[in-house]
Amino acid sequence: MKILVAEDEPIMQKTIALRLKKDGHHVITTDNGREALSLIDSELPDLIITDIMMPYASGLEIVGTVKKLERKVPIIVLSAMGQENVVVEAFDLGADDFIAKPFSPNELSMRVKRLMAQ
Amino acid sequence: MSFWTFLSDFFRYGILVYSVAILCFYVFIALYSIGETKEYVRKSTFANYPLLASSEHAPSLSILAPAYNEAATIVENVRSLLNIYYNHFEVIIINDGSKDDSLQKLMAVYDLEPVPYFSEQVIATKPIRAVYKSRNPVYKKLVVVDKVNGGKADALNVGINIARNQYVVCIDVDCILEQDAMLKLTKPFLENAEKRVIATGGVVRIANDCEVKDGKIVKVNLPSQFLPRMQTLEYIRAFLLGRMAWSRMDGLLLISGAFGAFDRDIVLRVGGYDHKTVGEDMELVVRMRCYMEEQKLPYEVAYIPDPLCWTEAPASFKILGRQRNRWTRGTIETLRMHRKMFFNPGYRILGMVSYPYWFFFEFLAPLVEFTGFVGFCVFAVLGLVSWKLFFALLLFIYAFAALFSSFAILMEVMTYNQYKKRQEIFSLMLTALVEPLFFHPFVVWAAVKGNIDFLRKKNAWGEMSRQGFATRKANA
Amino acid sequence: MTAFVLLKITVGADTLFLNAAAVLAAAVAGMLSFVFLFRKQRYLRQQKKGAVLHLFSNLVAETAICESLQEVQATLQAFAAANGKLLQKPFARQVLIKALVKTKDEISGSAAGNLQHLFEQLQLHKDCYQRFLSKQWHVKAKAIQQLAEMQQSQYLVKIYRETNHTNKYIRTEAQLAVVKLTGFKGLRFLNIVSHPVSQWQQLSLLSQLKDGLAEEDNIRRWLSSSNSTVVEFALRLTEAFKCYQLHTEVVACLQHTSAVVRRQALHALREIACEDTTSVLMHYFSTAGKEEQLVVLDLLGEIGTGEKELFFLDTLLSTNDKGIRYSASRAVQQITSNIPIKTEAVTVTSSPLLSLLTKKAV
Repeated sequence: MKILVAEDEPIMQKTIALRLKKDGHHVITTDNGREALSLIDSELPDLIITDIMMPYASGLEIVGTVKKLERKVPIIVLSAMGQENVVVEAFDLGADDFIAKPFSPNELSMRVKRLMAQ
Repeated sequence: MSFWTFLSDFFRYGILVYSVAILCFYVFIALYSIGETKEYVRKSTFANYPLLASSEHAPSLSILAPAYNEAATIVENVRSLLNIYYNHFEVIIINDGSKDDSLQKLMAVYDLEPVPYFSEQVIATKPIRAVYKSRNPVYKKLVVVDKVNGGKADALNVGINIARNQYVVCIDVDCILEQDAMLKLTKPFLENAEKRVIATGGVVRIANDCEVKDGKIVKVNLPSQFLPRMQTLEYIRAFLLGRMAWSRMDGLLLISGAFGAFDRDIVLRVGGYDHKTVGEDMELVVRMRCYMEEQKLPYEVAYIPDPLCWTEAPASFKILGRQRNRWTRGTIETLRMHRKMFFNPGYRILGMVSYPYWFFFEFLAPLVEFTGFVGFCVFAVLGLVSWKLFFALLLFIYAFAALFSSFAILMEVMTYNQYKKRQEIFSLMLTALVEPLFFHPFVVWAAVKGNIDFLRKKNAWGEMSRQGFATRKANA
Repeated sequence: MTAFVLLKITVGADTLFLNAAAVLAAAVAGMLSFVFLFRKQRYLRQQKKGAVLHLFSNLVAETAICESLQEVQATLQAFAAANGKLLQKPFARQVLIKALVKTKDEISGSAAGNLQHLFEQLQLHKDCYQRFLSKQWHVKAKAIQQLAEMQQSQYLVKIYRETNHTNKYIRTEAQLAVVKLTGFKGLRFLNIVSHPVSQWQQLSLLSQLKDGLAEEDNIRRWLSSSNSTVVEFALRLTEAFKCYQLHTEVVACLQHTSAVVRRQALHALREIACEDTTSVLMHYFSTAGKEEQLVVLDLLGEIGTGEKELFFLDTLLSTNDKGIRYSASRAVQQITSNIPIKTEAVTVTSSPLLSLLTKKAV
């Protein structure tokens, strides 16, 4: 499975990528929202994991954009902004899952598996 | 002693004293700002701004942006405001009776419908025509107010009346904000447990020739045009040295009109912006400070040296002239309205240091310079000038100006380092050398004209045409 | 900025100024060369740091996803074998500490445990402790932050001693640290803190306490503290942890001298409202300032349920103050929309007063 990870903190990006690679996925990474949007078009990932607070475009914008596309791509939001209204907004926009930071990489791996199975 | 001797002596020694005083002040400001900048940079190493974005209990903000004939860019600007990193906020766009289709564009793109509203009209303003909100829940933070034209101050007052939150952020609608601008601007309100923070302001940077994509600065470049480059250097001096020093002294009189946050309660108590002056941003801060001094309440006006907001600087002499003319008139009007503070110990630093400084070295400086120049011409014609001395002095002043600017560049490189290319630093240094010769005289002249216009009671903003961010192509 | 100065004073002044100009020009040249020197140095420093950070980010990421502490050990040994002396250089160790702290902040579960294990294996807490002993406030404060993030509770007592430090940055980091290390119990410093606790600090502390359990007895004590910011914080705790038992004490705070405390008490009442709350609020209304009255009206709208509140609000619908009238009518609307209004065919419960008020409010 090809997974796009949009996360601006470099070590977090590496950690998430390593964990997913361990599960056998092919991972593409980016550290800003603008590049994420263009990668979604060019790389056609099977799943997207995105932070909210990123340079140039918010993760929620990405969710909104992705959910309007023809191609259905599941998207997990992974963010420190875990307040109720943010979570609700993410789901309203069509996010398939929301994981609040601090998070466990193992848990992320399980949730990815679950989404892929659906 | 004859009258003429007295006059020429007064002239010479007066200007000497004045110049020495101003030079000393500049040296003091340069050195005094260092401590404050150092503390701020160190403090930032462990500030947790994202906490404010993700906290349930963070205060709500009302962001006010008056708009007049901004149809070219308004949709984009609003979009960029709606995507600010902050949790609880509302964006209030006040359409100040635009003659173009700004309002129609907004209504179409954001799916607006008129809604009933209530505003206590604490501050008297021109009438509101309607208030709009979006049918689309994605844009629920947006409020658009359509009102009869009344000027920027009046528009902001309408926004303040309608705003429901404790803190209002007044912003120029085409200002491009940094990602964490709101977080940084709001933090001072929460940090000071001993004094009430009544207003906070940040640094405005010049966006000319920066790459802008989707309402955000993608790459910072030094402006390529002559005038914006001069202004860049000017802004660096003013913001990094001047305001830091004043902030450390707690004597800051001015918050940039392009981007500032205020405690709504205090703004209402002093009566909001004054629409009779063209320098309404400075005047409001001064009035708020006066109020707190008179009430003997402990307070602070906070200043954030981080670049928070990017704006377009005038690129033509004509428009720059108008801007400086307006700033001068604004300064004079503010000084006049609050002249009771002049050397009044009841106003502490404000009255004893800030106001006199603004009076003597901001208001009078261009006039003194101009008079000096005229006097010089007269003396030259009369053959009374010692040319050797004149050139020695000229070189001295020039070298001092260059030194002050170099110091500002040094501080910029050591702290925020916005201009990373070596070419750009060279360019800035060259600007420092060129400025006293070409840019400075123009600014002095514009200020003198401002004085003349003030005496003629000109009261208009003048048309500010903008190139617009949308039309500029992003460099590949 | 400058004024042209024209003088004809004594001879010799021109040489004086020429010399001064020369000195200044030299200073300009010096300053500008320093700019380039500084840039070069900074660039080299950043390159060096970047290279080290790149290595360490791999180490940290790999450590985080290890499945057991033995695996962490093995990863570390592999790294040490490949990068030998690096782990002993103080500069590199600081880079690693920062990387570990930053990552641990965003990670939980066994991954967080792995990072802590790595931190301890490399004895990085000793480096932190050395910095803790520094006289420079920003170094000490950062060290406190790092020790707390890496859960180094062996330093708890030493950090606790700093929770009332005169330097505001050291004090706030120490307060956050003890809460991070011991949870709610760490708030003990509220008993002794003599400096005000800023709102920012209160928000930071609250975010640390997210998942804990509150100790109501302590909150009760803090609600009567002489430090009004402590009272304010205690009210926030009451609100966040929904301490219904503290209703009486919160009501008492409505009489506090500080407006901020009174406002906070009203907020808290929203969360711990009981059947008496609306009566208390209505009674308080008469002595409250206008701003507080508006908050009371909003609250009544949210928690009010019936005739008692509607009757009270009715009296306000004809007051002179527009703001009060508006808030009162909004509150009435809210209350009435929560009550199921039945049709005319019904009984006593849908009183004439109710329908009259509903009509008036709309």
